[in-house]
Amino acid sequence: MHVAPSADQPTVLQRVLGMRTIVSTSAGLAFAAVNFLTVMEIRKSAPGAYAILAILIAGALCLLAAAVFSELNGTIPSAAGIRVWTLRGIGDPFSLSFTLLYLTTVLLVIAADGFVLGAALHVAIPIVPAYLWILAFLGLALWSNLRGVHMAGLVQDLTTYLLLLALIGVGLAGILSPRVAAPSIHPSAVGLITAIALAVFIYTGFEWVTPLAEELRDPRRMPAGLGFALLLLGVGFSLFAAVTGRLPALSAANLTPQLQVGRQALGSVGFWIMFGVTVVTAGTTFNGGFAAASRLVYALARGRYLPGRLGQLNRRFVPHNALWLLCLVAMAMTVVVYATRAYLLLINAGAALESAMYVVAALAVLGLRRKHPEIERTWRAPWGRVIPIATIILFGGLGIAAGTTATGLPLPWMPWPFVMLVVLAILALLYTRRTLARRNQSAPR
Amino acid sequence: MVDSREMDRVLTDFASRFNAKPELAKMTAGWERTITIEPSDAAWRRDLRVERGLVRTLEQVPEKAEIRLVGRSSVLADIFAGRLSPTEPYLDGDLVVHSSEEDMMKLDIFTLMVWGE
Repeated sequence: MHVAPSADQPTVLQRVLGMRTIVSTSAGLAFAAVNFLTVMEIRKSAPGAYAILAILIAGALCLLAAAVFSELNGTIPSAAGIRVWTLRGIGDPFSLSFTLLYLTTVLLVIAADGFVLGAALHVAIPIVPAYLWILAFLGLALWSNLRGVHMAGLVQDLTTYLLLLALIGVGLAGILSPRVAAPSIHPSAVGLITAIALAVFIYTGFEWVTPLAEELRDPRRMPAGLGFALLLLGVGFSLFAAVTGRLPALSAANLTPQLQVGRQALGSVGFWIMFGVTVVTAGTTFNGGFAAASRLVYALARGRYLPGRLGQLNRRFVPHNALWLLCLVAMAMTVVVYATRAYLLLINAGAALESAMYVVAALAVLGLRRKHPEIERTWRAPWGRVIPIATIILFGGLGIAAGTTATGLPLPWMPWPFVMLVVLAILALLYTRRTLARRNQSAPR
Repeated sequence: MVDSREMDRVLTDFASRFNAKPELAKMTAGWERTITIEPSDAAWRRDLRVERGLVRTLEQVPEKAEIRLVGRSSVLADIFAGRLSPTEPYLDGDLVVHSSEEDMMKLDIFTLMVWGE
């Protein structure tokens, strides 16, 4: 006979994560090296202090998305979050198509970071070609993932906080340095909206902490954790934008603005600090991106939504085929972007996709409330439907703005980020329809 | 809804199949975990312990567990009876797994190996 649990002494989970880890994971996933280039791009549409305003407004708007994701976590805590929430709240085939599309966000960020890393390493150590650096770092991330190497939780937390501290410290030193800020030019309303839309990309990934939802000590602390992570990112990159405003000679085409900002703030020490920040940030983006995406690919393959070979594990219980595929695609994307310098396409498409993600998450909240009112929620967004609807309207608009921003590619009138996302969405939908039809025909296990 | 007797039968069968596979004992060497099984639609709960390559059901409610599985009793029973791959209800939101990601994948693969996949 099984002895019933006492109400006073329920079984507790051995491994639980607290607020420190929510904040560090959320901020760490969003903190990407490509964010420095994003700030330069924001400055084009909103010069001077307006760039800071755009970053802060985008961060404040992301609080809406944080509330939406917190409710989703509080409704169905799942490491397969986006798939589960959209399936239960909206339905297939949309859910599977969007999950596949969402995977590409991870690859976009990895490719963009690979590009920035290659550029920074080439500036600091020009003897080694940038392509070699890119392939070496991506290869290292693949190797460590294949071996199942995990950074200990405390080390991971400390790394993220040190990165943020370095960014904020260099930013403050840069502001205090004896240079006069360039006068601000007032942007147009469209320019400011475009800048805010691009600034969303700085926060991309803050919600990727949700796969940890099942390990949290108290899921009700998720909104505060996400909010604090957004605040740290907003402060750090606003300071960075402020220092770039004091460097009028810094061209928008400069591929390593963070190194110039470091030099402006603290001379050669600042240069090497920002170089270190770039390398560590790109490394953590590669590592975290591969780990998270490969687990999702594994789960989808095991659920027979992707080819079965992607669901195989090596002797270290790592989905090796999924990792190899992701790494090869990321390498190809990074090399193409480095060769073409079309990084703006990645930033704009990434910003548009992230906004679309928030819209879909808000739709899933509304769908889950309607279809599954019986599910007990550990946290619910306040003010009824105001937050989800505001998220849909605001991020819908920002997504369109980001998707139609010029990227410097031929045929400048063509909204290339939007075109790219539509093509990807069509491919994902075609694949989904075929896969779901095949699954429906085959007998269940 | 599956009652506790049916679940006991399923878990006993699962444990004996698991313990009869020497390759699983080898793979789970050093992986010592307590797994709590909590149906969302029934008052009973069950606990499993994986230790020294063997699985056994626990008579006493443990103070701590590394893995907690929550879902409808029929889903939980289907998983341990080999009628359902754990990944499918997991991706459908019918199974919530409170554990580290690594433990989740190991449990998935061990469950499948018990049923010969």
